[in-house]
This record gives sequence, C-alpha cells and structure tokens, in this order.
Amino acid sequence: MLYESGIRYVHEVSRANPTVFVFLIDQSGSMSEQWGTGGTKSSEVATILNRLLNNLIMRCTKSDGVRNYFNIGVIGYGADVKPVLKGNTLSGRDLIPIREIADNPLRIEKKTKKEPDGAGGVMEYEVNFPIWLEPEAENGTPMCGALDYAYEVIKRWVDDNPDSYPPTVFNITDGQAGDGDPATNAAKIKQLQTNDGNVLLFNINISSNTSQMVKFPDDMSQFSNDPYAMSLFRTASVMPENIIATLERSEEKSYSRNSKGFILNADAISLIEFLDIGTKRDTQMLINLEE
Amino acid sequence: MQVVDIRVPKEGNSPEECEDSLRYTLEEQIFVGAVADGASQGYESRVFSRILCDHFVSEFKEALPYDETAIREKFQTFLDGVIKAFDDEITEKTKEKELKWYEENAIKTGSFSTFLGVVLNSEKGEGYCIGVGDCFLFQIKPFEKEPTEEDIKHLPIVYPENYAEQSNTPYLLATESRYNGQLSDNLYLSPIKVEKGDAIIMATDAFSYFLIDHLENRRIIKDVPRCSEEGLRLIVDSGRKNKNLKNDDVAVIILRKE
Repeated sequence: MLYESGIRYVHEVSRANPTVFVFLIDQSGSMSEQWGTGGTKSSEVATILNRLLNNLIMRCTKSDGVRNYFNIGVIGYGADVKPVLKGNTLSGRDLIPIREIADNPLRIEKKTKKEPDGAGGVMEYEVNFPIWLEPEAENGTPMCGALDYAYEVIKRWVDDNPDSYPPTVFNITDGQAGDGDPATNAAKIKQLQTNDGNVLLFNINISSNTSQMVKFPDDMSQFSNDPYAMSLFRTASVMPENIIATLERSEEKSYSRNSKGFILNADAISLIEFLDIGTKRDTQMLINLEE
Repeated sequence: MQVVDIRVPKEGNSPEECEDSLRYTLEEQIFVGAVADGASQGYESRVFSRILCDHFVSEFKEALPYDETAIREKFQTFLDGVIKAFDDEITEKTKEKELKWYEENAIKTGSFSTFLGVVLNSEKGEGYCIGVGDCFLFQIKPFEKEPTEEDIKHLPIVYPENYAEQSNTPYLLATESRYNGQLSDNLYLSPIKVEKGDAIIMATDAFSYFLIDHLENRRIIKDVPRCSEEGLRLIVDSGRKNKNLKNDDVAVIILRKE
C-alpha cells in the first residue's frame, strides 16, 4: 500500500527492465452468456485478449524483431486455475516473454482491416490475426485461487526484477468469487512491490445486463447496496497518476486522484479501452518505453 | 556561418538503434538541413527518418526565395519520393527473408516520423522552416550579460508556436499515404530572418522539450547556442542524469550566423 497514492510508477520499461502484465480471466459457466450484441462473454473476451496481445507485440516490433519489454501471464479460472495461452511452446507456462508469444501463436487467421484512405474513401486490406486464447466457460468462479496463483507467479518475478516497473494484474470477471472473499488474496498481491511501487490490481466486472456502468470510482456511493461490487472496489488499486492522466486525455473528462482501477458492468468497448490504456507503455503516454 | 550537430541514441541503446536522424549541407552560402524523429510505433522508423533528411537536403537546395504555395507543393512531391525510396529499401531488405506474421503486419502499417527542415541563405539571412510534429526550431538572439525580465527580446523564438498542444500526440508523417490525409493542415511553414549573432537550433522532441522547459533559464539559453559538439553532449548527459532531459534519442543541429 506504500505507493498507492501514485507517487511512483515512473521507471522506464526496457529490455533490461521489462514489466509484467497478468490477465486473470473468468472462465466460469456464466461466461457462456451473450454479451451485448456480440458473441458470448467468453468468446468476446478471448477475441479482446488476442487483439491486445497482437497490439502489444506490434508495439515491441522493431527492425531487429520483437523486443522483450513485457512478460505476459494469462491465467484462466473456471473448471480449474491454470495458464491458458496455447501455442507451440506456450501451454502450461505462467509468465512468458512477449517475443516467445509472438513466435508461437496457436494459429494465424486473416482479418480484413478497414481504414480511411486519406482521400475521403475507405480502403480494405488483409492483416494477420494470431490466436493464442480460446474461449472456455465451465463450472464456478475460483477467483481467490486465481489471485493466489498470480501471487506466486508475481512474487518470484519481483524478487528477480526489483528495478522494474511494477507488474499489473487485470482481473476480468462477470461473477462473484465462488471460493470465498478475495480481499485477503488481493491484499497479498498488492503488497508485492518493486522499488518503483506496488503491484497494481485492476478489476473489470463485465456484464450483459442494462445496469449502469461505473468507471473508475473513488468511493462506493454508486453501488453501496451491492456487496459484490464493493468487494471488487475495495480490492482494486488506486490508479497511478500517469494512468489517470491518460484516461482524462482519452475520455476528455476529469477523474479523482483516488480513482480505482475498477469498472462495474463494463461493456466490450470499455474493457478494450481500459486494457489498452492500462497496458500502454510508450514514449508519449504513461511511463517511458525504451525506443 | 558555423554549424554544430549531435546525434545521440537513448542511453542504453547502440548508435545503430537511434531512430532520430539529421543531415545538412552548407554550400555557397545556402544552408539546407533537416532533423527527423522516427516514431517508435513504426516499422524501420530510423530508415524513414534518415530518408526524410537525406532527400530534403538534396531536393530543397534550390527552393529559395520564400513562396508558400510553391514550397507546399514541393513538399508533397518530396514526400511522395521519400515514400517510394522507403518502400524500395524495405522491399530490398526483406526480399530474401521469410517474414513473420508481425513483420508483415508492421510493414502494412508502415513507419512514422516527425520532421523539421530549414533552408537559409546565410548571406541574406533569409529562409524558411518547414515541419510536421514536435521537432522544433529555436532562434536565439545574442546577449552578453544577464538580461532583465523586461528584456523579452532575448527569449528564443520557438517554431512552431503550438508546441504546448502537441506534446502528447504530435502529427506524424507516414510511409502509408492513407495516414497523410491531414498533412496540409498540419504542415508548418514559416519564413525566418536571421541576423548576425543569431543562433538557430533545430532539435527533435527530447532536446526541444528540454529547451522549452528552460526558456526562462538564462544560462542554458545563453550557453546552448555557443556549444561545441562536446559541450552539447555534456548538456545531454547531465540533463539525462538530472532527469531534466528525457532519456530518448537526440538529434540537434545548431547554426550560428557570424
């Protein structure tokens, strides 16, 4: 809790000092429900994660290949708690350098990308869309187990990388923890730290109902009758100032300096936007990424 | 006219990894120079920034006197040539190579760069600057003693003047023409007039923001224009060490009219 005011989180991300992103993915049975006008929650989240990994790899791609600025862990929790990235050498591994992820997708699909052609029209072109994560939705919601798993993985990493930008954990869930109150487990993760700050834990609750979305609150007044939402709020980290500043620029609105990395009833767009901003580490946004 | 330049990679990187470029010539009283900052999100941005500078120096030598319409048209032709040269070089580099999926995607997205070019007749002291994004030109008048607060004329002139608005999202030149649709609105062009004793500093973003942050610091504003190459390197090193200058690639050209 030492750095939750956001006074740190300034270390440069480099090949010598990479950072970590861990994605905890709820794969419980309820993730098979429809999400908005798209597919099921599990299939949409898988697509969003695959696209995010793709984007992270593109950010690291230089003329000499993909630089290992990030180590990535994707942990599913449903029928079991386990690493869920698939691909040649990736299965069963906790934290994987991004270059290895880039070189070992499960398969590569083709997608058509549409963009303005710069002359008032639209142009289409084909791009590679690699797949590492497949949708799964089964059984309960062992969120406490997932947080404990992440704790063990991250603890080893921060011990070995004391000068790095602290790891960030994104917990994406549509339900209530089925294996207890996650407060203690979350607190353990957030107590881990590098000398640039504590591990950040961000909770994104996705929902297909029409309840009002609450983004990055600094108190519980909007969901004070919802113990589950209050639990996720309490366990989320206060966002560092650099992330808040980027959100403010992106959304053209102000957030409190005590805003937490928590979204209640998130739709797909909000999830995409937050993952994008929460993982952005380039020279013009947030912390410095080695060029 | 005296010219000093430095090109320094980000600390921790090798010179070959520097994505900032510079190039200039000074022949028969005509100075033509350029600096460019290849964006980290692009593929082979250092190649793009290098070609931008090389082509500008070779193509804008004759582009005087100042004629805004003609210069803008010339810049578009220049950029088309740069894009073709970039495509040719990338094609040559990759023709024997089996590309990975991310390299194919990166090539389709292309490369991006900011840019600043200056053309100046040093004898007449007249010319212009043309640029895109957050490469800046500073014009600094000479002063011998510590000026007073009222001595505003000693503050450097900064081109372009909208630097405060674009520091987070500067407009970038692109190797894919579809991303250059708003170029005419974002292409900065201004005449410049230089007198004896003036210094012109052309710099990519990191050094530019360092100077902008120190516009009121008389010592830095007085010292930088007089610096040797070694002195500039010391300023970059100490700025990085003291966290006043972001650890980023640096390209700077200083010309002094004497």
